[in-house]
Amino acid sequence: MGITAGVDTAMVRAGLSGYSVDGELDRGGYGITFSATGAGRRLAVKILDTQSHEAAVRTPLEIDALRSIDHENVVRIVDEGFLDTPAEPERYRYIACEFVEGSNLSDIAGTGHRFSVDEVITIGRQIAAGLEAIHQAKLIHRDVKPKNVMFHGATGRAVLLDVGIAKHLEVTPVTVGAAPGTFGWKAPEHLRGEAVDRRADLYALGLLLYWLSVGAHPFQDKAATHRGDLEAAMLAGQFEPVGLAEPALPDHVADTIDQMIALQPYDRPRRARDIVEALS
Amino acid sequence: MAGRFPTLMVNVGHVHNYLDEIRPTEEIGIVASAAYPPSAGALSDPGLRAGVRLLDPITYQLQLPTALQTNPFRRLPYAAAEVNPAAVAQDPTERSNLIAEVAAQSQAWGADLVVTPYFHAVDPDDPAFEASILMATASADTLGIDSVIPAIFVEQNALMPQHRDDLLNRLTRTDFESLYILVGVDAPSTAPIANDQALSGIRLVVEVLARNGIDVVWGATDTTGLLAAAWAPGTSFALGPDTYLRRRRQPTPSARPRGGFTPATRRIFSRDLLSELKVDDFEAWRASGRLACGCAACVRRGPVAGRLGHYVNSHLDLASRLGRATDPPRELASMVELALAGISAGPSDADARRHLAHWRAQLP
Repeated sequence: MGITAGVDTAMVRAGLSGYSVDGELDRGGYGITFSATGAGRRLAVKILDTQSHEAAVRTPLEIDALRSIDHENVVRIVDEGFLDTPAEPERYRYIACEFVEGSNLSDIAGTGHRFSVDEVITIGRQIAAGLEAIHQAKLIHRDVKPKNVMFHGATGRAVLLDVGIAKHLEVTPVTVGAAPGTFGWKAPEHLRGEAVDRRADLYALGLLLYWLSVGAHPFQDKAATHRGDLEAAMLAGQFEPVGLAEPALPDHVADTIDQMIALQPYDRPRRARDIVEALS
Repeated sequence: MAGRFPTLMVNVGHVHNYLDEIRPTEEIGIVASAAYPPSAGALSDPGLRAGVRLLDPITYQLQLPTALQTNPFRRLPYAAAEVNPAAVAQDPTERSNLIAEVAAQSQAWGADLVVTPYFHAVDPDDPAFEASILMATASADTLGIDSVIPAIFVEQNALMPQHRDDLLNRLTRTDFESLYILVGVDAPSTAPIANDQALSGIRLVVEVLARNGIDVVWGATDTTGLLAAAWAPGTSFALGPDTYLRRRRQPTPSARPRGGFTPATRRIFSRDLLSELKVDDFEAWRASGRLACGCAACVRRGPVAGRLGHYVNSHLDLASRLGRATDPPRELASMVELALAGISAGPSDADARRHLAHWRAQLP
């Protein structure tokens, strides 16, 4: 059963007072996103099922941290709460965010667009800056991937979406266990079920920048068809350096991307702001 | 100066008057013990040239019921019994109490940074390790990240291949740009202090932490030799005047000290590695402000010129020389070779020869 089985536009309209719900925007692994209007502006409202995933369960600390993030490269949370569903109160959490213009990187690539070196650097710097803001709030995003990055070609603005499954680190700078994420974009330590910290986000951003630069996932063997093959390759940590796969990349950019995909977190850049600096 | 700290950090340990005898030629950092902190007057001596000052809170002693006499935090309610580090770290009240006590003591003494409360951990999986990290993070939240230096205390076991990645990932996880790391040895006291795996482990730690922009003050006492062998430019470490570059045999309960190197001796120089520093003119050497050997034999009869082991200088000289070297491990190797060449083939130097040979085998 899907984690938001039974959730449809009618149900969200009925349970979300104060908003005018237009329709479904996207259906993902952790929830369904609806287009809505509230307080005179267009919003994206994500619905998460608290019974299906720990990511939907939020502590007051997490809610405060999520709402405290105010950065041009991170989608802004406008409101959050529970759908008014009398039969199951506090089951479906909603997170209302600003509606970001543009297309996600996955869709852009789907049109056959090949990202230029300048675009790779621009997107890399902006998303790293956004991650720095998230990490400063003691959160880790846990789901950095092409589909969660919006890019507006005309303005050159990149925005990191879907902070809905971000996890607060509270005092301990790690989260352990079966943390959420998307297959193919999880860090090796995440795959091994070990402690995950903010460097898992930097690893995923490294994969993303590699993918943007080369047009292929660094660990994706085109001949392999089994899901386990990709995970095994990621756990082995062997990949073609991005500078060889895409010689047009400046050395300092290629080195930074390769470092971000290092098998061990201690071999990666330590902080997102280090990446912003390295890509300058 | 390497990063935030002077290249040479001196751990004054439990020696009350050691500061009176230090006359360094360059600025040094001081690491003092909270159990026996030197007075402000001693630290203000212009001849000391003390730069950064740290006060080791020795909170690992909270785990030792027998150490409560010297436990500076015994006023805290939970310090009356053996402490479970994880419990202290997880409890917000106890955590903040301990942080407040440590910070107050450190600031009252005049430390430049607060060494955060820490506990002894066998390896990175030991809950005491995360408890130390948690105390450091909470201390930074309370006091400001630039006001603290996080402390970690692990056994040499943590440097072994099976623990290295875990250790390094944990040490580099936070925002901290400095660490105070103590490494202990749980081997029998007569065992070699540094095996190849421990040496390569500590070299990797030194390299990775430097690459991650973390300045380290090494605070180990009984592993100073191990640390010295792994010396790397840009890394500071602390040395104890009351510690040794080789391990000593534990005296049997019935054995009476017969002079020489007994546990009760306050200060004995490291004859293993420093004999090339021996001088013919002891008085001239002593007049230069260097330390005199404190072993029972020297105290009783005074020093004998030319005799191995009783004129070598303090760890201060060793560290200072290594600190200036472009290739510290090779510098250390050459010192060992000189020492080997300088000792006799007779039975009186057999012990020193064995240890020197052991050291030389582990150096480049």
